[in-house]
Amino acid sequence: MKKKAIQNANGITICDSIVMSVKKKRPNFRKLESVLIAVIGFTSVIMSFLGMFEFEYDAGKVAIAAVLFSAFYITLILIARKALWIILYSIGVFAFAAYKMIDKITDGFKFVYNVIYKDSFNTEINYYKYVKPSMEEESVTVLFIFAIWLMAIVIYFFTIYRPNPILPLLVTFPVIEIGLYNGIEIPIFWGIMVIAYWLALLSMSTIDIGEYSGGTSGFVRKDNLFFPKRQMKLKVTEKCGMYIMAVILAVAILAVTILNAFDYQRSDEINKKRRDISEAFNEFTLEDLAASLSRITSAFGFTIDYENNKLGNKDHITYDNTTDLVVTVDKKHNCAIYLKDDVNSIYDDNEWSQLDSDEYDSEVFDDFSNNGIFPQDFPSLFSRLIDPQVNELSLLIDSKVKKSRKFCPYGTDNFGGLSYNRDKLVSSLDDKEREFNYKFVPINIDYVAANLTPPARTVFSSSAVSDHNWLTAITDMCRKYSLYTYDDYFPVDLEIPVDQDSMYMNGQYLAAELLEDRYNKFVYDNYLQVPDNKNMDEVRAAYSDILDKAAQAKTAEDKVAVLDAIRKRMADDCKYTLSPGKTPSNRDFINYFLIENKKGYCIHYATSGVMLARMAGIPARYATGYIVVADDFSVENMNPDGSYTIDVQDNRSHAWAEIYLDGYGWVPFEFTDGYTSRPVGNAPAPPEPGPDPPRPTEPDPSVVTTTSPQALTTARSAITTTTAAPNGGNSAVNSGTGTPGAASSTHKHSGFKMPVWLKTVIVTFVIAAAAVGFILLRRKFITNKRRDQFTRGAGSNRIGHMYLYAEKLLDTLQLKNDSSNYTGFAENVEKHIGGSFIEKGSFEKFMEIALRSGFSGVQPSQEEIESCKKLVDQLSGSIYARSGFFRRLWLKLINALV
Amino acid sequence: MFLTKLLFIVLIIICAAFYVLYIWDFALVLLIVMIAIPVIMFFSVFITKKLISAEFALKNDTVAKNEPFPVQLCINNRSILPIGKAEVRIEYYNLFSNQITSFDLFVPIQARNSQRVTFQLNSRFCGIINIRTVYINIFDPLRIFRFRIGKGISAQISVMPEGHEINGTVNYTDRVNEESSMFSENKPGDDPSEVFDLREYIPGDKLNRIHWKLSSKKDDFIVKDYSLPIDVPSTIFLNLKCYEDSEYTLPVFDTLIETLISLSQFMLENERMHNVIYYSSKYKNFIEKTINAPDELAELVKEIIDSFSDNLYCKGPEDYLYDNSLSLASFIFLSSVPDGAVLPFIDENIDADIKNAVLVVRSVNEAAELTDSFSNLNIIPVVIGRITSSIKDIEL
Repeated sequence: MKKKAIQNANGITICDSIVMSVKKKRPNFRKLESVLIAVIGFTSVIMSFLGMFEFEYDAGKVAIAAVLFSAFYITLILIARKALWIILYSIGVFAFAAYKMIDKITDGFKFVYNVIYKDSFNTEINYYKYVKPSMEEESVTVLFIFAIWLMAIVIYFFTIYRPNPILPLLVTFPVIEIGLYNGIEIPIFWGIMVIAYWLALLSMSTIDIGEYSGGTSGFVRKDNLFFPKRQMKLKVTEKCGMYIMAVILAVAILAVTILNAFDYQRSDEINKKRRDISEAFNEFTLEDLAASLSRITSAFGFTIDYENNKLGNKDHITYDNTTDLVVTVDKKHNCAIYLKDDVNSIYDDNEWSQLDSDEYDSEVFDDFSNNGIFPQDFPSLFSRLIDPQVNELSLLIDSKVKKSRKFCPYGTDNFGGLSYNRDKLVSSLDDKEREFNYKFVPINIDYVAANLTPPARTVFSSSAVSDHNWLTAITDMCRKYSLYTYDDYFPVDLEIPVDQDSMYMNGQYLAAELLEDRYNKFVYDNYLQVPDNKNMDEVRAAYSDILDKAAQAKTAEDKVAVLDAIRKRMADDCKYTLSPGKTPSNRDFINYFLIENKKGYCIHYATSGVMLARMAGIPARYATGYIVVADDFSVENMNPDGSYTIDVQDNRSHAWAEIYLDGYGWVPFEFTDGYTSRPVGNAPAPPEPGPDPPRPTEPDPSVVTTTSPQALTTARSAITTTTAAPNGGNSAVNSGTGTPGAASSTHKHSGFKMPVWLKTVIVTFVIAAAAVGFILLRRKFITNKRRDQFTRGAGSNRIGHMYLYAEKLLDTLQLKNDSSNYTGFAENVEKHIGGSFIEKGSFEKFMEIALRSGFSGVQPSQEEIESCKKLVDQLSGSIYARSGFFRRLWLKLINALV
Repeated sequence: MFLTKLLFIVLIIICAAFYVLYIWDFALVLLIVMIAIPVIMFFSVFITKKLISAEFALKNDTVAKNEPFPVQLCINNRSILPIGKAEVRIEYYNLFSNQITSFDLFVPIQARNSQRVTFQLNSRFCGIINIRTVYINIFDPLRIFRFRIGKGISAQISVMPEGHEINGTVNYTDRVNEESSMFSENKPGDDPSEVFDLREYIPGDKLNRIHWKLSSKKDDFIVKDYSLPIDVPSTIFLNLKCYEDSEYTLPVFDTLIETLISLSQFMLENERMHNVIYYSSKYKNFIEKTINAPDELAELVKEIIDSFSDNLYCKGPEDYLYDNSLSLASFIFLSSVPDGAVLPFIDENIDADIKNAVLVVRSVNEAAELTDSFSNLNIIPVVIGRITSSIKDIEL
């Protein structure tokens, strides 16, 4: 029949009164326990706070006040009833007294906050000035007395009379948190007792939730629910609270003991993580919410690949000093090596982006692919035209950064196995995704510029080309672009003075020159773009003296001189810093840097340099990657075979400009103050004096700067490495949980130093104890389960379990039932152990019962079950009795069979 | 519960973040404590669960209708951990009804103690009251984990019906068991095998009744009153089959049993011994009991009530009546309103001097609807709870 629940429709009613009684009557300590919990909470909050800071106050008065308030409110609450009205009046008295003494309380607050501020920020400066030191003790004492008074009211009432965690938490949490937030050390014991109090209170309120007060016994009925009254004597609410406190205290004591015994030290990784998180929170801004969130999640270890390409969106940059690339060069090099991984051409809305892919549909790019000569090859090819003996270097890059980033130097030789990304980048086709192998020709811009001439049209003849490998390519290009003027003669604009015969013999160079002529037009069509707006006009006007002269620059050397002039102007007007501040969202990045802010780092200089170069009519692009400087080729980095292995750290990430020299190709140009692309040391000197020595940087007060030694007078190749760290500290531990400039004292644990052998002994003991505990628990579990299986459930199941157990026991005697011949097995068992381990014939009888109950479905009788139980008990007992000591242990503890 | 678990997980995550951001050892100790607490809570309540047992205790096995009876839920906790608030759900219902009532009880469980929670129930109808626990949930002090114990603990108590006064007439009948030696102690009859009483002659007495021997000694005629044999085959057939499962099932059944008691008591008062036939769920067969005395009636009622199981299965009267021929002085068919051809069958096929069909109906209207179209069978409707007023002049 369908069962429904209908109130009283079955004629049965339940009376409203329910009574509870207990067998063992015990004294009712509920009130006492709740008082104890409240006193512990009250005391621990006060002691935690006072233990974090050192205040000037009258400890005696405060202690007396604490005791008196505690006694007063505990008494009132225990009396309850009308005495509770007195509590209400006392709140009024409190408010009135506080109002009357508001000045002293305010002063006291100022003194207290000064102490907190000084400790939190590790400074001697008072947050509140103009406070009289002579009044400190009195004011602070008054403040503490009133604070204790308030806490006493809240804690005792909402712990003893009406357990509720909300108000006590509201009152006590800020007291503790003000120190914790600022990274102040809290006394462990009192801090843990505060936590224990909160959890005990939570437990008590959860148990008592919804219950009515009034009366001490009985249950209250609400519809179909009966619940005890809050004050019922038999309730165990406070005992549960005490239990929670005891557990927390025990765990805390054990944890502290173990930490002390093993001299626990916080790991550097955690400290680093803390710094990262603090930094991320400090940099949080709503304006750049996505990037802020990305930094925060990254600090917590969840990297979300969010890239904000907007320039000027960072207030400052910091480095982790991690190695991003490991670069091995076969020879020493006295120039910077630029390893680029990205090139951008379009500047718009404070952001660099690529050329539209449509632009690359130009035929010249098909020619590049068909002929296997790309603009990236031009510098190395034309360097050899200038100087056939030019040095070639080998470079191996082992990248530690994410896989999609590929790096390449300038002047790469195409020895095969290179992949070209249009006219921007090169990468080596290596089996390994993170290793790049190159041969390249170092570029000395001054030397190159000095050897470039204005384009001189030279006429060549196809039939004179003796290099048959390239003849077809050359003639195809001539036909394609209708270069033939007369017969098979075609003109080439050469910027490099070369011997015509050598060109005929080295068809590759001729082909390269033809391609460069075509590519030159593409470059001037696409890489001179400057946004047409007022911001650029202002910049143009500010640099007009240089830009106007640029119109007269005809040779490559003139153009380089223009670029140097731009560089010098920027160095004079602007200051290099890693903390330039953000570019306001309504400002143009370049305009803001060059005209308003005048502070920036490589990105600022490079971007501005590219635009100014374009304004001067020189094609330029914006490149990013890493830089290896001449100083890196030091003895420390030298290998036995003369090569150099350099760890390129994250602080070597860099942005620069690359400019196009007609007839040569793209070369890096350094606009950033303090950097140079020119050679230093014994490198060929540029034909003209180089730029003025740049001014040293002025580090931001919050930044620690270490500067590597200065190099020559002509140029400085020193790299300023900066790590953003709080003042006064290195990269060591910072205190605080998010406040920059907080106290940076390194925590040193002053614990008992345990000898290694003792640690080993303790660890071994703990492991052994755990193993023994596990074995014993396992045995207990198995035997209890076996007992349940033998005593509960259907008879056939019980017999089945007994049979399986018997099989395991017999297995220890090497008696196994390999076939399904149970009868034969029983006979075998009887033959071997019947009469010795067990009574003769008992196992056959047992087998008969087991087969009958297992296969016929007939339930065994109680006598049969008992006889089977008796058999297995006898068998296990006999096996145990006839076993040696170790075997007994094995049977008991490992097999858990007896 | 889920919210509490979620809160603790959030707390642990916050403590882990706090440990990263706060350099002092307090943060690590706090994290260890917050991780250890749920583990300790789990194991402590798990162990407590193994050491807690519960059972019901009843003072008596039977109780009268409308009489409150106490039920005790005894919870024994052998562990050292108290349970702040255990949640108990208890159900109770009458086996003769399909309606279950339940209530919830929040009870603290003390450590290493045994507690009894006593509540009072009161049944308006007779039958077997089954009281059982649906669950007993115990929690750790922070109420993160819940364990269920004590599912299906139950107890039963029989609520005994009451008898009611009815009016009627018990007629003398010739169908007497002539070999029986049971005679009325209150009334004379015509059976000469036993003298009921001796009295003075009243004009009109039969001459063969004069006790000549005594009369010769007395100067008056003494007349013998013969005895009235009371061993008359009378049967009450109690049909316990439930024809309709509704909220009236229990009141109908209650009235049915009490009508049986009332009829049986009436017959006993009128020195009419009788048999009661009913279907026993316990023995899965029809049982015939002879009722000679009130204590036999009480025993019968207890047997009827105790024989019932939860599924209220009962064979129909046709299963007995069609297969058994009866020759009775009085036959009473006691039932709720049956379906089928049972009544016509009784009317035509049961051999009895007087046949009554006492049918328990829900209301007066339903009583009025019952047609009395039978030639040999009297239909007596009995409205639920109105036995006395319904049976006013039954003839037996």
